[in-house]
Amino acid sequence: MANKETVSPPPFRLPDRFEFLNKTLAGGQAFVYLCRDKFLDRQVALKAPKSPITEGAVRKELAILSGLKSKHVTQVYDVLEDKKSGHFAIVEEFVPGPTLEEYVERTNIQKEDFLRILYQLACALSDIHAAGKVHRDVTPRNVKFDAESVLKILDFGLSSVARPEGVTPQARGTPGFVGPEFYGSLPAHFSAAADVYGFGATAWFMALNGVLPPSLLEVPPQSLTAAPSFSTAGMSLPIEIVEVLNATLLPNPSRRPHAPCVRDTLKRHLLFGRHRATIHYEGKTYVLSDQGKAARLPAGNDTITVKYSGLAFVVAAVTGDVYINNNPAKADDILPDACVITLGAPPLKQARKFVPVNMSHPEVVL
Amino acid sequence: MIQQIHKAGEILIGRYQVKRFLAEGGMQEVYVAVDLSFNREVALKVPKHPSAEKRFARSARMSAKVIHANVAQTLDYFSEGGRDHLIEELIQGSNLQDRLDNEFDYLDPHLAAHLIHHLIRAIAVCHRVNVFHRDLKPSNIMVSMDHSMSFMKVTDFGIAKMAAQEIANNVKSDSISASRTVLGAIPYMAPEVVRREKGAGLPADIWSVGALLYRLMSGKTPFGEGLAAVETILKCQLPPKPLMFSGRGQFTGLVDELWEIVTACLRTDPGARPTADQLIKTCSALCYSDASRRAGIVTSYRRGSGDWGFIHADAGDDVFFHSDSYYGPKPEERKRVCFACCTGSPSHRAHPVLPLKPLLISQAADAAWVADPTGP
Repeated sequence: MANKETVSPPPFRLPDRFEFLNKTLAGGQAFVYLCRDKFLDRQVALKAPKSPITEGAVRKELAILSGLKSKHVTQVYDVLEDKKSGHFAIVEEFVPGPTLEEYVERTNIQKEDFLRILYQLACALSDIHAAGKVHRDVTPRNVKFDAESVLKILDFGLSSVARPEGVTPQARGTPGFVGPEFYGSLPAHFSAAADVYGFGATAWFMALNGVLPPSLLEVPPQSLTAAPSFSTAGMSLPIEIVEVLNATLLPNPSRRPHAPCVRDTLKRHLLFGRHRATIHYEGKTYVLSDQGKAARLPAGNDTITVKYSGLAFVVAAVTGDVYINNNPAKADDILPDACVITLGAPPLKQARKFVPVNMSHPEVVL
Repeated sequence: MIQQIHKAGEILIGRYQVKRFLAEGGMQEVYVAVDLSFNREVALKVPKHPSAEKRFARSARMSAKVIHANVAQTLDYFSEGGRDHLIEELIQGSNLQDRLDNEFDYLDPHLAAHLIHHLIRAIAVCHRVNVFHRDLKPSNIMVSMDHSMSFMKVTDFGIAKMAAQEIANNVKSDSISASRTVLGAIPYMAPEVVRREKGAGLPADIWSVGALLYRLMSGKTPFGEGLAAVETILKCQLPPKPLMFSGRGQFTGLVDELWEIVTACLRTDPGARPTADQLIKTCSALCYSDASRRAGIVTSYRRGSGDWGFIHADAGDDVFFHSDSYYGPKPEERKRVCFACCTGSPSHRAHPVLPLKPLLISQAADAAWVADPTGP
């Protein structure tokens, strides 16, 4: 189902600034002509409606894109409009690709890649939703990578400004990637949760190398069989990830997680095993960073053992009087990002031992 | 005052309406304009001298090839009234030089690591398409207004070649009237750029990264300021490790890793410096706190018997800190600081804590008013 590529030139005269590079892609609502901007010597995408009927969709996309600031959304450079001939087109950043659909076709996606791509997609949706917009057609075909492998979400042709009472006169979108709420008696209600469903379906598309679980293709989706659990996706995903991904495909839109919640869960797991705790104990500095390793801090009968779980530093055992930021420490407590561990009961005053511990981790910059 | 090229209200090519003058560099004037086709604000840049236009055009084409979240986006380029104009994304923030002049004497290793990590990503994407900046310095780096400088973007690619020429002229003629642009650029210039060697290229940017990291963490440029730095740079002798890099307490580890980056970037032989891609690997592995930061004033230090005190935060609450988390000389009462805040009881806990320059009087009055809601 890859986009059809042709060499047909635009049906109108281009301003001198642009040179057509003999490559045209057909999207749902528009043709995209690859051009060179002679002033800035760079490639740009010139997007024109397929027909007067789809012009509204392209104009809507323009309105949405120009009000959105996100590294995962393409930049609009210009609008070409000829009042006399009625021709209308937008000039935007050219994203070379591949699309996520093409990428899945040619790659056997492994867990790390899977999490990174989904993290970027969750970031994109979080940005879009934070701006009060909804994409409405989140599919692997509308997701593309730029030359730096930064994920971009394209084709806002179906998108709309999110309104609590938002209704769409007709259910459109890509079968398999739209939730059951679009199959009820029209008009269908939609919200940011529709994008989260598309996200979940896209996750399955990646996990299953380009196909969807049959339950998502039922009409309406999941009417006979519930969506499978991501625990069966064959990548031994952590339970927390499985749970949040499963929730994205819940038939009831109001029970699906918000995009930022999905994003933050994925981010936590991208940092698995990469945290570092700096412990300042008796004039020396110790670093705890190996997953599964523990540090035992003794002071007479008062001891605490802190273990790195891969996601956090957790209290494994406590004996005697031990406090974390003045709260009594107990097993399974998670250390805050900066804390002091106090060994010894308060009456000991200065005889107590104070151990500052600080956590840090690499910054996720994709 | 010199006449500015454009006046507010002017409309260029029927599309860009000049809103206000923003700033000027050695080579160009910068305005805020409204792009009337999208009703969005953009930055409008105009070269000051027609002789600079060829370079201006080339610089625009170079930066237009780079599309990245850490690089200011080139949007348009046109001629009007016999002058070339460049339209760039308008960045909400200020340049890093202004922040160093008004807010920070230096940065703690966490904040410095965050900025260098983003900077090196911007440089790597440029180097991959064989574009190099030539003039990396704090005034070409735009940062968001928050104390954590959560996002940053690099601007003004390639304009620098002009600056390099100007400095050469200055050195030759022993001129003491070098422009502010040149004086600002010299401390970050690689020796091969100062010498105007033909082969100067990508590694010159890497040198600048090293000099910048040194400046951010120590408060001083590695080879001195202004024209006097030229001689020291040409000697290529790495300055001794500043005290700030012999990190104490909670900063050990990270400061050592950052110092290694500085020394690798400041290698005399351009070929011996790491590439931007190698530095991305290094920076991706650095552990630092990128938590958002708050500001406040140290209200008590060593009033008890330990090495700890409290910060009265601008939001009104008191936050505990330990001197091991304080980057800089001994904490002083009344000192303004910014810090990341972690949950604690009965008070939250600050780490890391970075001293700030005192507020200007008008800002101080604002802060005092915010800090004490029962006040006037």
